[in-house]
Amino acid sequence: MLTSYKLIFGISFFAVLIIGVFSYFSVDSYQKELISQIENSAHQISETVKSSTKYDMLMNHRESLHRIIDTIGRQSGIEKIRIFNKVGKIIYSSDKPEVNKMVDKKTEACYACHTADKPIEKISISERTRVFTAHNDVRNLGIINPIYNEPACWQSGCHIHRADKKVLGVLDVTMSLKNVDEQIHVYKVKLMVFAILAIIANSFILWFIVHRLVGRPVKEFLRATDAVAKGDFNFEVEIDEKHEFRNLADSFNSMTRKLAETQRQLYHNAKLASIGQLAAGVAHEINNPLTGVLTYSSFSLKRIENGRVDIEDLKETLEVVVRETKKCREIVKSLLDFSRQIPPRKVEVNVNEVIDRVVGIIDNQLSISRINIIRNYQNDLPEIKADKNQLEQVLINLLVNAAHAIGHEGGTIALETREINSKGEKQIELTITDNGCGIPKENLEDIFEPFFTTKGQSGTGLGLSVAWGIIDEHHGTIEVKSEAGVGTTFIIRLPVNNNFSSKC
Amino acid sequence: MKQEYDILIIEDDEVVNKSAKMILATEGFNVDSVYNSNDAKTRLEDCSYKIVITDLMLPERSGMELLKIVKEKAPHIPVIMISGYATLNNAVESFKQGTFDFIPKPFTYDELLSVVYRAVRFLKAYGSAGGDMSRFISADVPDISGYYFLGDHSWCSFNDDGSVVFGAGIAFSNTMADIKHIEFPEIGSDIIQGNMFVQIYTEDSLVHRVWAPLSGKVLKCNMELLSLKYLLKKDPFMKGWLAKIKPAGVEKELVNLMPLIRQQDI
Ligand SMILES: Nc1ncnc2c1ncn2[C@@H]1O[C@H](COP(=O)(O)OP(=O)(O)O)[C@@H](O)[C@H]1O
Ligand SMILES: [Mg+2]
Repeated sequence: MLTSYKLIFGISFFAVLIIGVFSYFSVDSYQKELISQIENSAHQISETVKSSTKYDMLMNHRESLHRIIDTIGRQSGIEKIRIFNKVGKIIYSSDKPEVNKMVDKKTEACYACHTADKPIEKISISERTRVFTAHNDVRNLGIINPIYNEPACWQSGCHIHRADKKVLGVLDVTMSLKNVDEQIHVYKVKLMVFAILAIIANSFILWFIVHRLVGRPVKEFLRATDAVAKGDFNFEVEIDEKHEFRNLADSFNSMTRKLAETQRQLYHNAKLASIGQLAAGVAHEINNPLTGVLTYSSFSLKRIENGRVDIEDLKETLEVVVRETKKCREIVKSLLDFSRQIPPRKVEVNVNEVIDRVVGIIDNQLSISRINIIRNYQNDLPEIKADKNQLEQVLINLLVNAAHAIGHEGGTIALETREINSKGEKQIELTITDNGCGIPKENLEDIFEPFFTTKGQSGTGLGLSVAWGIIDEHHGTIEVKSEAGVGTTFIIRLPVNNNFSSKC
Repeated sequence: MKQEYDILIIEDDEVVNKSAKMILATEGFNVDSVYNSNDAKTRLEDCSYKIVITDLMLPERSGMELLKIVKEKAPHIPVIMISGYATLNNAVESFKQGTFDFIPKPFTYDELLSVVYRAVRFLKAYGSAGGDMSRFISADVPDISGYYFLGDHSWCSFNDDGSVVFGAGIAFSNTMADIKHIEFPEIGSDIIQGNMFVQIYTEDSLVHRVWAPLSGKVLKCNMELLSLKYLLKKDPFMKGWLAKIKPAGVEKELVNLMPLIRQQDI
């Protein structure tokens, strides 16, 4: 289902977006939090150094001063502690080689105070802080702490600090951010893993929900519409009581029920209509022979009443009566076949054998008409359940029609059987092809109608409708292909596995 | 020299064709018969027949079309339709085109004859009247506006109370031999347009069937006619009425009827 994938993709995209934005701000604030902790501790260390060295500085006890700075500078997390004077000369550093070197005021340590080259005396902690990347790619945090000129300094007289100087030097504490960066990295990785897991879980849950709530009912509906399209109106869509689609399913089911009902009615109406048609047709067909019977017998009766009995007349009358009554009997018989009053008896039948028998019955008639029969059988044809007599009737009707179509000039009728597979159902296909006169296009639709005939009084028009009725009864189909002047093919298909559930 | 025939039979069914021919030949008519409408058409070219009997349902050309051909050539020739039950409606309709009468299949010897003899009498009256029947038929013809006719065969007229009076037309009542007996329908029975509702037995031992012009239920019959039989011939439109009916489905059936009697028959 494409739609469900689109849905999953869309929602995942938004999840990625949301998680991404969230992660960005979360990482950022976490980093700020960690750095401000380091900043605070750096500031504290800086203040500690400043206050613990104040006395030594005043007294100019350099050794003691150096010792304190070294000791504190060795603490973990502290990169280095150094002091430089106003002009930027490093007076002391826990990193010994640096001592006496000059600091580039424009870089690292000094920019805070010396922006635009003007020393600013009082500045806030965050302004005194800087984060920079040292030569070994490790980020460091430095905090500078100006050492202000206090009265004690210029009053001591031990060494020269002029009173007008406000800042004597700068204490610079540098702390490594290695730990912080490591923690943030771990945090980022964790977030990433979480995001990926969340998106996967999200997609999976979505897929599951879509499948359960939408996909399954939609599939059920698809199956149902398929079934209905195929003419199975008994298919019911089954959907959980609590599901929203339940209403849809209910109305779908009631629709199919109504369809089924309408179809039954249509079928019934069509049946009634064809019965009416049949009755009219029967009346018409039977009226003619009855007229013969009635006229001749009433004629003879009149004669007898008048006392003029003529044996020859009487004989003629009785001949007409017998002949015409037989015609009526034939019509009634075909009619019974047509209306299937005779219940079919179904047994295992080999269609090839049925054909052989029928050809045997009418062989004489065929050879008189110089008709050549070509038989093309599949020998291992599976047997079908069918009424033998009815099948014979169908074949006789079709063969007689073919013979009529061929006429007296002679021709061929080809009979072919084979097993086919139609929509997974095994069927037997029987084709009867003649090279007779063919059926004009405008008649093709009517030939299966009862009483449709082009043979005038010599045809009943019942042959094909009887055949159709019988094949339908066997759940098979009968089809015709014909070209006027070329010939006609009738194709009969009968199911091999037939359970004969009766229709309506 | 061409042989003069009295009657042409057009019927595609062999046994019906032969039966009709046998009956008419037995009665001494000179009969010609064909089995299809094409042959019929060529035979009708010169129209030397006195009476034409045709099946209504023929392959290719219907009896109705043949009727038109005859009426164009010689309107006075009586055309008798043979109709099956399924074509009864067509038969009723064909009265409008000028059908003399129809014979439903299957028919007896006498049923065919009675219609043919009426046609013969009609022709005689027509001949002696020099083409103007009204002068020689002894019937009184009053003002018959408001009457509806099933061809020349039967009529009906509407009463104010919704009932309908049925009667026989002149071309029917005045083409029979003397009346021996009249058989009326039972009161309360249903009659159907185009079906027989009265049978008239004549002295020549024939039976004539009167077709109902409309469908309905029989309310009353004119029993007076049993004693005063001459009224049927003498005053067919007033005192010679046959039955009173409560009609059913008039609208649909009225289209088959004609509001006025045709000129030639009066
Ligand atoms: N094999 C055929 N070739 C040509 N026309 C055919 C063939 N089979 C049937 N027909 C046509 O179909 C009509 C109906 O056939 P059917 O129902 O058997 O009645 P009938 O044979 O009595 O006319 C025939 O009149 C004929 O016109
Ligand atoms: Mg046939």
